[in-house]
Amino acid sequence: MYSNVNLAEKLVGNIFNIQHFSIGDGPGIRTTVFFKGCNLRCAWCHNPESQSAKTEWMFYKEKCTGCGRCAALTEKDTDFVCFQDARQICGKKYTADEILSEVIKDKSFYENSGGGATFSGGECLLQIEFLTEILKACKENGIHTAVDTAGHVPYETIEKILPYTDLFLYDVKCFDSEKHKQYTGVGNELILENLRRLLNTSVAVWVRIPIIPTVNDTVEEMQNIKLLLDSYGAPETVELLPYHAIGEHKYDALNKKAHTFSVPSEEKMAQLKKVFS
Amino acid sequence: MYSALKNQLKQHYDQLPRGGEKTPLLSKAIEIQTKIYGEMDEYYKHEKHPALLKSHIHTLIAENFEPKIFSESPFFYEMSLRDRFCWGTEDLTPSSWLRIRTRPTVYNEHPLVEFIEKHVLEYFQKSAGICSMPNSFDNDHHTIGYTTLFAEGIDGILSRVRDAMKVETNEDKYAFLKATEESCIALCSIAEKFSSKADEMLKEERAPQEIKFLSMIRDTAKRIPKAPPATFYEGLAMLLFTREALATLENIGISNLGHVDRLLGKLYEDDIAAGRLTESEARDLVTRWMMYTDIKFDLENSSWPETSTCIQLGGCDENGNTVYNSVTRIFIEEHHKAGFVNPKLNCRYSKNSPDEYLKLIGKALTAGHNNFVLINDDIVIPGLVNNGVALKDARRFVNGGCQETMIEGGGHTEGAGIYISIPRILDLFLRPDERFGWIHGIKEPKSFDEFYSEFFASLKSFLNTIFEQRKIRQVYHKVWQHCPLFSATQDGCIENRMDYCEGGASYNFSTVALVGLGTTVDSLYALKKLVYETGTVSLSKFKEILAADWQGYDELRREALSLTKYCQADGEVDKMANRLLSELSEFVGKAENERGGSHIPSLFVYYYFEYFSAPLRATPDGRRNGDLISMGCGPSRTFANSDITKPLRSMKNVDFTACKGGSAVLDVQLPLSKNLTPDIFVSLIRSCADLKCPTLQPNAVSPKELLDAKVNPDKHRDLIVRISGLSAYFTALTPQVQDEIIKRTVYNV
Repeated sequence: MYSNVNLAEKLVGNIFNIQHFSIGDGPGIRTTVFFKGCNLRCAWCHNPESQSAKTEWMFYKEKCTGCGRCAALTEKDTDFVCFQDARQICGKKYTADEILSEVIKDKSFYENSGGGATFSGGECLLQIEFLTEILKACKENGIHTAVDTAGHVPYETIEKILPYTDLFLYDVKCFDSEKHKQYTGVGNELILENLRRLLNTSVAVWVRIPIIPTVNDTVEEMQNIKLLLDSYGAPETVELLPYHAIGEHKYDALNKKAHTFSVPSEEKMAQLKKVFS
Repeated sequence: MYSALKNQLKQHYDQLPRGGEKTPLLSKAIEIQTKIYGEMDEYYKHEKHPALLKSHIHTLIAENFEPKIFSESPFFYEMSLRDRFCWGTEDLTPSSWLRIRTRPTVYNEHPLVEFIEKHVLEYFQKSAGICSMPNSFDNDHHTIGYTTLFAEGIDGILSRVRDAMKVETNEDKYAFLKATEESCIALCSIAEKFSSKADEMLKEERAPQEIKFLSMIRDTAKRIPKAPPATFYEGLAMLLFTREALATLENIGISNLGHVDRLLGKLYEDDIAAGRLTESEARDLVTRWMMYTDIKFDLENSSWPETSTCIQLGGCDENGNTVYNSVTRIFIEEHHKAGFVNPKLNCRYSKNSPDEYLKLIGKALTAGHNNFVLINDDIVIPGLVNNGVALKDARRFVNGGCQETMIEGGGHTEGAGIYISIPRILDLFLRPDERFGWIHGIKEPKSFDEFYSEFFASLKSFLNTIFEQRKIRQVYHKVWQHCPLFSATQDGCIENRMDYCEGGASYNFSTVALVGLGTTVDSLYALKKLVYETGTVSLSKFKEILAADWQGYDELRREALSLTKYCQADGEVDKMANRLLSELSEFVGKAENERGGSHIPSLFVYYYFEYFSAPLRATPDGRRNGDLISMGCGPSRTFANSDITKPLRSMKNVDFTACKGGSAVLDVQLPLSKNLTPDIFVSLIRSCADLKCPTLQPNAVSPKELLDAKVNPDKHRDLIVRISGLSAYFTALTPQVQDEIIKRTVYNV
């Protein structure tokens, strides 16, 4: 498991992307900071570059013109620029100040939209010290904060950031723990227990359920999750996120094998959403 | 619901093709033109004053044209004297007589004009790729003084003209007034012919709706345009009739059909309050009013559907009050509902724009209705005011045929007078071309400041040459450009007793479109860094590398490409852009035009970024021979930046009021997604206002759909895209333009 590193006495985070004008990760227009390293291996993961904590090169062969300039690259050559954008580095070290200076640039967008910063991944809670520092910095600068997590960490870890987090985007992937383990690599007991405890705090929680055909795309599954959530104390919002294949080309770029699923139909999504309406 | 009107329009306009087979209707138009040309040739023997010549053409047109009324429409405007693709600026119309017939005289009297036209311009355009001057004078991009017409009607104008005639003793000035009087009378008699025609058509057996529409035309064409409109319908009729009639009579493009919500808002509310109109009736009128352009210009089959037809919405009125009302809502909603592409929707916005207005735009745009451009009042109005335009006049600005700024009723701004490729001048400065005496690079400037000042001196020298040539060429437009009727609607002309082409209007600007700001700034920055700061390469070596199109110099190209660029919200590069723009603006603004006015710089480029890209050799920013240059005031296209907030934040680093009211356009391609909601769009525009983004031209597309539309066009016939100042059906475009749009950066969201 990756934990944040302390280089030259400054706490740094391992980040693979900073997405400005992000409009799918919480309310309003946000900047989403993607932490590298995850302790789940969801079969449908659309950010496979987030899984390993190591710096990785991604290679989009369809963009390559075969110029050969990248033949002798190492992980240290992080400044390399491929003219065709075919070879891309994934994973860079940032200090909290660097992240904050990037996030704060879009304050106008947050203020006009009710947005802010979202910390996602990978699993951002695996770099808890760095996460805490950056969340604190955001709050000090009046920026709304959201943490996007799968929740598979000790609750004490979550507790550390409660004072600086306005919103949790919390994944519930499967009701059944065995199935959860089959598709993500871990059971869901800890995740659900953390969610129960989180819902008993004053922090806002949006539960997000990825809808994966053949895995959890049934009304029965949704009803089970709903009953469970009702028993915990209803979250502010429940979002159903249809599986999409946008990440598939990233598997190729990482030379990894993708699991493929079908995309749920609009009718199916409407049917499942009805359970929560 | 509107299929009957669509069929009538299509049937008519199919009979007015451009070239090819001469249909009976086209032959009739040519016959009338030939007749009027003959009569004018006779008239010319004893009358030489251009204004009186033009007004006499108006009289002859009024006598000879045959009105065409579409019984499924309550509007009257079609005179059938122009082909379907002509918006007023071409030869097939009787009013072209003045231009065609006086040209030889001008050539005879000013041989240099002919020389420049025939040789120099062709050289500039085809050989050098440095500027484009399709016309000596921009005879498109006019807007009628609708506000004046709505206040006093033609009768009011006539009354002022006649008062002036009573006291005017100068022969030339009197002739102008006399011409204006004749033209106003001709315009009213044209309307009356429509009234008579409708009356005649009513004698035949008609369906109830046709009877209603024909009766409306019969009654209204007696009042409009003589009197100010008293109802919402009359207002619509005034706009459409005067726009189309003036284009035919004056042989100019009237690119804007009016700031419709400002002009019609009160008339609508009064009608509703008096029970004369219901909202659904108003919607029906607006739909019928907007319908003709797409059909006339055969949009479904046109690979470059330029219509030069816009309406203005939003913004503020002369007193600074926000304009947003039921009419705004009706126009946008009906345009979207009907899936129109035209008229183009030019929407003014500011910090004061209500959420509801922006949301309305956002709702249509995020559904893929790519027909909008958003023009920032907070940039354009102060820019115009800094240029000497009175605040109340500046607040009346409109845009058209794309985003060219016009002061409604204040004169002509020659919005697309000339386009100049700034990176091409840098290119020629770096690597001189013997053909250009005025662009010569110095060998090894000692510092970047020295380099910059030498480059800027060359730039100024070139611009001066252009301005001088334009002034020489434009001697003849003072002869053939006389438009007494158009001038009568412009503030200043009647008071000064001078046509707008002679500088009679309140404002007499010409616009210079500066193309490739981003590419120029990035190139200058690369030179500054690599030559003068890091010393990576000498200037002479750099020139060799560029001459080799970077072949064999990958490492240096990598360095050039990885340097920070304009529109990445970097203070230093953006500061350079600000410096270049402000200095250019200051210089351009001082250059006088042929009407005694000054020049407005703009960063509006239409599709000229593509036109200028091919002849442009490799540039210091890492761009190779022929690669696309930057668009408008936007970033270089040499490499992709997928973060939309960067160019928007950069806008704040550059003072675009330096454009003195000229348009500076930022194109953004957004991905259609369920997350791109109208609310998010509102927030985006709010941030644009905060960041002082001048003009935003958004395109909301699905890259996947664009690719599929190329392969399976039949599945995507309704797919509308914004190209650059115009929108079009994607599947009708040429593969080259389709590919260029597909290659545009789609910002991540």
